[in-house]
Amino acid sequence: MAIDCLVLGAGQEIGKSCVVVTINGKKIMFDCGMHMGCDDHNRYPDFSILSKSGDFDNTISCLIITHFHMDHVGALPYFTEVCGYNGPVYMSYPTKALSPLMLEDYRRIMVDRRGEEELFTSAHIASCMNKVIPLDLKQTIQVDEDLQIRAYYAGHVLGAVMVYAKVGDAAIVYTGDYNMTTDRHLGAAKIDRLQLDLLISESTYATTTRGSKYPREREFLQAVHKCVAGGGKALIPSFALGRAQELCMLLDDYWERMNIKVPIYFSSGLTIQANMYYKMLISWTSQNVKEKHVTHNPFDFKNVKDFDRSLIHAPGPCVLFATPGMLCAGFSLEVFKHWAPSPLNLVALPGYSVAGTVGHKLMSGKPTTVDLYNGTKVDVRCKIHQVAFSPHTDAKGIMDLTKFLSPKNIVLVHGEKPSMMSLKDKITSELGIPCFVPANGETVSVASTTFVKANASDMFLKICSNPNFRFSNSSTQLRVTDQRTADGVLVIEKSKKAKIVHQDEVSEVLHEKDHVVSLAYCCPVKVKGESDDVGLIKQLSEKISETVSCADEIHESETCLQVGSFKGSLCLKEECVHRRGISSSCSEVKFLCCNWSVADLELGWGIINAMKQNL
Amino acid sequence: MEEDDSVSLTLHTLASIRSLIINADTPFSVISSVLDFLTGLLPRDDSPILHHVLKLLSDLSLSRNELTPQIFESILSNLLRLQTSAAESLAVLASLSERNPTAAAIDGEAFATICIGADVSSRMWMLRNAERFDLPSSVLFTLCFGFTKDPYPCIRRVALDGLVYVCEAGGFDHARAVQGCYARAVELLDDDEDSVRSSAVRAVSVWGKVLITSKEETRRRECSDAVFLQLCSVVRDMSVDVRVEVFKAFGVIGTASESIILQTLSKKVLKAGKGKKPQNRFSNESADAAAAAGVFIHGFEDEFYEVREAAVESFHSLSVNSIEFPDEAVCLLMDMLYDDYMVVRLKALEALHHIANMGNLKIQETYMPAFLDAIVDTSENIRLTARNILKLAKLPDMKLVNKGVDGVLKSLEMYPQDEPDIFSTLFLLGQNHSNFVVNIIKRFRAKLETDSGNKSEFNSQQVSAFLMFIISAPLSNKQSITSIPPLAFSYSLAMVEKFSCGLHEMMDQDTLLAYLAHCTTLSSASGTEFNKADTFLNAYRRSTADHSGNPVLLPSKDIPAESISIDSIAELEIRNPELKSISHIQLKVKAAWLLLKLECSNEAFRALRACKQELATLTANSSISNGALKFMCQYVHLIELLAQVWPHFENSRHTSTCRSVELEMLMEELEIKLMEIRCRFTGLSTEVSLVMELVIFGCLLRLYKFEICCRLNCKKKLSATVSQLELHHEQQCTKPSDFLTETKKSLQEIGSSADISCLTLLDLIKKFNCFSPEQFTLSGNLQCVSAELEVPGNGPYNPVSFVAGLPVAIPCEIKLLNVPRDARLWLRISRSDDTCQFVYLDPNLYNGGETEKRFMFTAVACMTPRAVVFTLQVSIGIECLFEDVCCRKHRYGPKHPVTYLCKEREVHFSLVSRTEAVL
Repeated sequence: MAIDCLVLGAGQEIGKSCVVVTINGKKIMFDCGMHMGCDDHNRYPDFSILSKSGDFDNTISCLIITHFHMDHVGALPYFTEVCGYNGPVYMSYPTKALSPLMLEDYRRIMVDRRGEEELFTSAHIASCMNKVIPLDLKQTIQVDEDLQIRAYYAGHVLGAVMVYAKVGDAAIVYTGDYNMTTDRHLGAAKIDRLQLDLLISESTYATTTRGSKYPREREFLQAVHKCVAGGGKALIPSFALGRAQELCMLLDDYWERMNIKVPIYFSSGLTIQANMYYKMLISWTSQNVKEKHVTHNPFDFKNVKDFDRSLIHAPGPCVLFATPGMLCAGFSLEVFKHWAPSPLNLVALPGYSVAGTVGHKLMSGKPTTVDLYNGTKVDVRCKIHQVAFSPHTDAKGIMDLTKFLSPKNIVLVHGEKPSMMSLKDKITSELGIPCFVPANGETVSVASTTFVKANASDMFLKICSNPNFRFSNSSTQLRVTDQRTADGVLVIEKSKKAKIVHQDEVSEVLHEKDHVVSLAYCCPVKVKGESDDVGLIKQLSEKISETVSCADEIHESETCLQVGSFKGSLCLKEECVHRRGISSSCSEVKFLCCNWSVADLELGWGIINAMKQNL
Repeated sequence: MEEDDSVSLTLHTLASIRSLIINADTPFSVISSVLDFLTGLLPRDDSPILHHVLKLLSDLSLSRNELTPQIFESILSNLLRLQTSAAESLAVLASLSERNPTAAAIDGEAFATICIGADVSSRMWMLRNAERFDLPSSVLFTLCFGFTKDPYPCIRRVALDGLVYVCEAGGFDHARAVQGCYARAVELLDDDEDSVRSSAVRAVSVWGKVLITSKEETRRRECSDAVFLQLCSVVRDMSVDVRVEVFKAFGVIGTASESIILQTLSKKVLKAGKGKKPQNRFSNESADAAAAAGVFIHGFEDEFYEVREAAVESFHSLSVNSIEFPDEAVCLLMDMLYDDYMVVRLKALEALHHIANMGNLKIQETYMPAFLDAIVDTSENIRLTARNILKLAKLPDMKLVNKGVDGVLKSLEMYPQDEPDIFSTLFLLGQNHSNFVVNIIKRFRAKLETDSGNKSEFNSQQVSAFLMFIISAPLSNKQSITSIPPLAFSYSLAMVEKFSCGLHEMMDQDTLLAYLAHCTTLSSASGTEFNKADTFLNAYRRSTADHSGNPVLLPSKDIPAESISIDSIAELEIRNPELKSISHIQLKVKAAWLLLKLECSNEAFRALRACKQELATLTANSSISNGALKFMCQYVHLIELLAQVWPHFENSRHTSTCRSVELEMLMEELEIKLMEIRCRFTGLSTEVSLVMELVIFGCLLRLYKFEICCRLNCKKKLSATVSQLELHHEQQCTKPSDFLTETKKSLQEIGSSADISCLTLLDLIKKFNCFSPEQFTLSGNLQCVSAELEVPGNGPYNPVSFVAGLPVAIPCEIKLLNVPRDARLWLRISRSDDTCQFVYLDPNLYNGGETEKRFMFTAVACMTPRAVVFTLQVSIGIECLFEDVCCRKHRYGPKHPVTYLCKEREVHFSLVSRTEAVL
């Protein structure tokens, strides 16, 4: 059996995440995002690869959304309402709560402000959200008879999850976006150690290694503090959810500590609404917030006020959080237009800016003028501060997670090709795990684990119930092994189920006789005096009981004697095959033909030696 | 109990047996047959019944403890037969043997057999409780080591815990076993179960530690690095417990190469670590320093405070054990001061305190707010540790110093209970930042002006806090004294009690007093006097400077002991004004001595004279004996003499003849007085050491200053006195003073050679600092030996008649006070031309029980000159038995020097006129 991983989006790029994985015949779609940088048909994943006829219901077993960012959820209304997918859609509770807000906000910006054609309507959003089944952390959901999924905490944004999916014995994890270090309001990703055939990981920062977060936080606070202390206005363009809350917590704390009275504003109703969700979804936040909220909800910001449009030109310092991030459109861009010309002011850009946005232009150099989308130019004299925190894990985090999970294969998505390639090399060389970086539309096939079920015999089970330690002393150290399973033998017969039996049972099962190794030796014995055969045997038996310590019971018959498995009888043959190196010429020598089993190896040779002395 | 075994046992029967057992009145015969019956059931191995039987036996032992050994025996003998409930019977056995330690131990082999045969839950119980059975460590080790292979995670976990226990119990150091155990624990670091991994981490750390110590010296570093890196590989585990354990384990290992520690502070793989792949011999894996990348960064920014706490703590222990700890580390720790959790902040502060102690702490402006927050933290521990750091800190500029002082003042306002420690913080802060004192003085003046309107505010805490900062400055920078207004010192003098409370760790009240007094004069004086400051300050600094060159003042004596004695003395003083004035005099004497050392001899004399006058006004009463008063007088006199001698030593060694004669005379007198104080007081206890040290000091002075000829004798006397004093300390179980130990050490160094280095002597002489309060307790039974001698009727107009050339009798009326039994008294009869004669006083004359004795004694003076009239001086002397070194050779007279108990009495003689003789 194999696992096929078809990348519909976010292959060697960032945007429109969509991966379809086929495990033992079950097709699961992870994420359904849109590309924020594209305006044409490329903004959606190419669903036609999945099914030419558009019969997605029968092709795909389920669709799982990891978090509410547009590049992970943006195409959902299109896929369900326009393409007509009616199967189950899973997402975490916070994602289910926040996704419609994001989608609606985006739709409004695209349609109302930019006047683009409507890709989906508000009604589409509402009806698509009706199909969503909410997931809780570590809750295992049996999607159908074979497929089970489970969500793990991913950090990144409120409600982000990593998804574990298992069909039969094959299991994979799709990480979505995740963060391996905690921030002010969210925890770090957390997952169990699982046996995985495939790990599909994001790789936004495939080559970056970030230092401690504390100096970064300090730099940001100092930049903002310096700006407001100098009477300037600080603009922090950010999306309503995520960074805004984190930075706000940071500032609010700092304001308290330093006793600063400068107002902090939140621009839009969306952020206020989002704060409300944060306050409710405390169980999805970091440990710190969870413990603190008992006495004071950290999302009840003490210094934060609502912003009014009239305040743009109000004198005096202030800090403003304005949506959307990246300065791509909307209110944040409008404020930027007014504030950018003053050298007192500051624009702090948190996180990643997609190419083509004003934010990206500001970050990629120190421009003196910036072209806005509608052709107007703005002089940029304000200070620019790039806030170096990101909700994405860095390269070390990806390596750490990979090392921890030790999957059999790894596929990287959601990153830029050159850095992904270098990460791929690193994973292959350092961890020895095969790593794939498929482009959009490509499929990666890896082998999946299948276990053979076998019955065990009662005897084997019984013996296995107790440990059977074996200690071995190698040259430098003591080792221990548990031998109990080593005694088992796997028997696979035609048209029968495999069976494990204990090694003692094998011959019985196979209807074969046991082979016994025995030793034989025709031993020369000297006859003393005139004794006959019976006398000789008697003599020997006395001799044996004298010299051989462990010969307890000696049975004698006329010409035979027997000690345990050792049997000796007078050999009358002229030429015995077991007689070696001794000529039978001497008349006073008689031969005793002996044989004994391997178990009595020592005993046998002991007796032979004793008898030889009689010679 | 006539029931037969064949009768099926019902629960009902067992219940009635139980009632028999718990009933204290059941006759013993019944109990013993119950016991027989129950033990008879044991071999049946009928598990439903057996469970109850074991319970009943356990109850039985509880109510009849004397049966415990018997019950123990019977269960033990059936142990191996009890297949199904073996574990349960072991539990009973364990509790039995805990209750009655006389019961025999459980065989290790039997335990192992049962453990291997038992089901999972019993096995887990057994491994977990193995410690209770007092098994041989080899058995326990083998079992635990084997069970690390168990398919059940819970068994693997307890097996690892068992291995940790075996290791911690110690004594198990078979090389291969240690290696194997470590390797097995390393394997289990990759276990699928969180709990197993966290136990494995612990096992790796403890067995790794054993492994490291088992290596020879040269390979230890390599081995500890390998263990450290091995642990680093699990730092990014997803389980909180595992991460906490890993950081604790770093603390257990406690050390690693510097390159690795540097790597732990950076997530980027450093060049030094790159490519260098030390082969890890212990697990056949290559351990790369890259594994340690950013370990502490991850630890410090962990989501869970438990992990952060453990990380900070292990960071601390690493910094303790690493000689060179990088500066980057400090920045990382500083960030932890903003942590939301008190415990993390405290741990970070403690680590910073340690680093500050090593002299590596530079507080930057960025971190100052964190410190100031810590200083006003609600937690007392945090405030204390933060202040301790501030005591050691060196702040780069005025702004930060001001901020620091503000922070401390704020905290003083918020937490007045911290006052003493805040004062000492300010004192040390001032000492470390004397360059900025001018600015603080400005603020102080401003503060005074604002407060001056309201007189009651004068004592305000803020003013005293500023003072504390200001007055410490001259200690590290003597020039600063000119900028300090004398006013500051005089104000401080008024608050000396409050201040000395805060500074008790650094100096006692006397030193502070002397210091302040000294500074007051210095700051008002100028120029020439100024250099004198050096002596005090240098001496002070030298004695207190710590290894980092920081003038940290070390506690001069045991604080708790001192505070106790001070308390009790204070109590006494309240009740008794005399005692109080005595202790004042003691303080003054001490201060005078310090002044003397600072070459302010005039002030010292003035102080000593004042002491004498004050002593003269005191009268003996119930609380202070006459003897004690006399002792004080003598003592002050001695110090005065020393004060006169001292300037001769301060100057160069060679002096003019005239001065040396003067010195010789002074020394002579000093020695006589010393002898006197030694002989004339009985009931000395701690004062003995006081006196003897003075004797030693005298000897040292003599050795230093005088000619070679008397050196040998002097040295003899010195060593004799030193050993006497040592003996005294031994007998009294008291601690010898530093002066004594130093002297003894130098004496040993000098050995028998006559050549004595003058520098050593001078050092020793400078070390002498008068006395410490515990030497000066003035015990109640201090008695002064004294005598009165009267020749009744004798006078210039009523002389004793004599015949020239013939002996003459002098009738003496003698009164002796407090003469000890073993004393030898002599009557010294001397003539003005220095010829003298000793007459032995027969002890029978005065040896009675009473302290006061009067008797008549007729002394015979042999040396009548050919003169018409002459006078003889008569006095009573006591032989100083201990002064056996330089004994004098009189034909008839004392073998030892004599000291005199009374003033010399002049006796007048006149030649018998012939007429009178005839008549």
